[in-house]
Amino acid sequence: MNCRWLGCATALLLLNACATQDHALYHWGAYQDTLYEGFRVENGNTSPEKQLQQLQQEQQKAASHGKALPPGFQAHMGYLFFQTGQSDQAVVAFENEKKQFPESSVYMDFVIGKLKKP
Amino acid sequence: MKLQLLTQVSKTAVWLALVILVGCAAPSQPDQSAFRNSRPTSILVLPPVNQSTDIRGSLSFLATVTQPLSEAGYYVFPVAMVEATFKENGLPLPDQIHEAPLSKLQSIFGADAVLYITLEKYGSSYVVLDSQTVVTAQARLVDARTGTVLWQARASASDAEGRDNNNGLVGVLLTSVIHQLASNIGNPGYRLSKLTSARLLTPHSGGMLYGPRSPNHGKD
Repeated sequence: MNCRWLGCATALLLLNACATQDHALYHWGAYQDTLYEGFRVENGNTSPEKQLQQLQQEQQKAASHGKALPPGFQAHMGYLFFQTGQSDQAVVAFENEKKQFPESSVYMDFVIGKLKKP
Repeated sequence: MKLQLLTQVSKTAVWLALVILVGCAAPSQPDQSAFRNSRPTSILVLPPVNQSTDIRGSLSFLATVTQPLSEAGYYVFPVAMVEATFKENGLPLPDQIHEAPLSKLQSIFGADAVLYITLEKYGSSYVVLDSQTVVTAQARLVDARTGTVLWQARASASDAEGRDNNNGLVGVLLTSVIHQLASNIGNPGYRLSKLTSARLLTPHSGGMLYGPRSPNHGKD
């Protein structure tokens, strides 16, 4: 009897998990955890290179699931490109954020303007 | 027998009526007309002011706000980059950032609304047999053009939730050991921040409204 209940509960949980996934507007994966790792002050935070790698993996997963990238994702990639000395890539990422989310235009233009200043 | 059944039915009816009454009486709907009229599409979340003693609180919490607000249908500015922008412009501390004039924020970010968060509690308190981690946050959404407060709320999460069902000292000791071990793996403050963020920022009746990128926009 107990086992049966456990089975039912597990099935419900699984169903629930599937339902949540389908209703989400965006692919999240480890995006927020990457942000958190980047913020961490103790034990030396995760390097921008490592964060960039993680986000590139998430980008591929999002594409393969046919899900949109969340707000700020491409801008954050741009910020990591900038931190790792890849300014051209950074500008491309900021432009992509703008294309996906026109709401970001003022801020992205501000950032791109700063990057392009000699 | 029939009479007994009837009494049973009427008892149930009384209970149901009570439950419905309580349900109706409890939450008085706050006035959300300012929020509805403002129709924000984008939200700039400022780094939270931290009233706890754990310095990790502000940024750990900041890492968790994007998901609930984005899934609610808003554009959320990239939180880490925004924090760096403030630092570069001479505002390294959340307390200073919260004092920044809206016109200045407008000119750099172009956000429709600004979210001010204060972390009231973040971290663990140790009691005799156990530790308990609590995260409590209070939030205020402001129209970036007019400064009108659109919405405000408070939410909390604790890892003691659902742990009260264990009977007997052995049970308590065992949970305590497991719990303290688990707490050292990963940061429980971050885990509970996710829960607090979700409770605070996920749209619900009388709470956060859906934004324009959600299919539920305008239906709440």
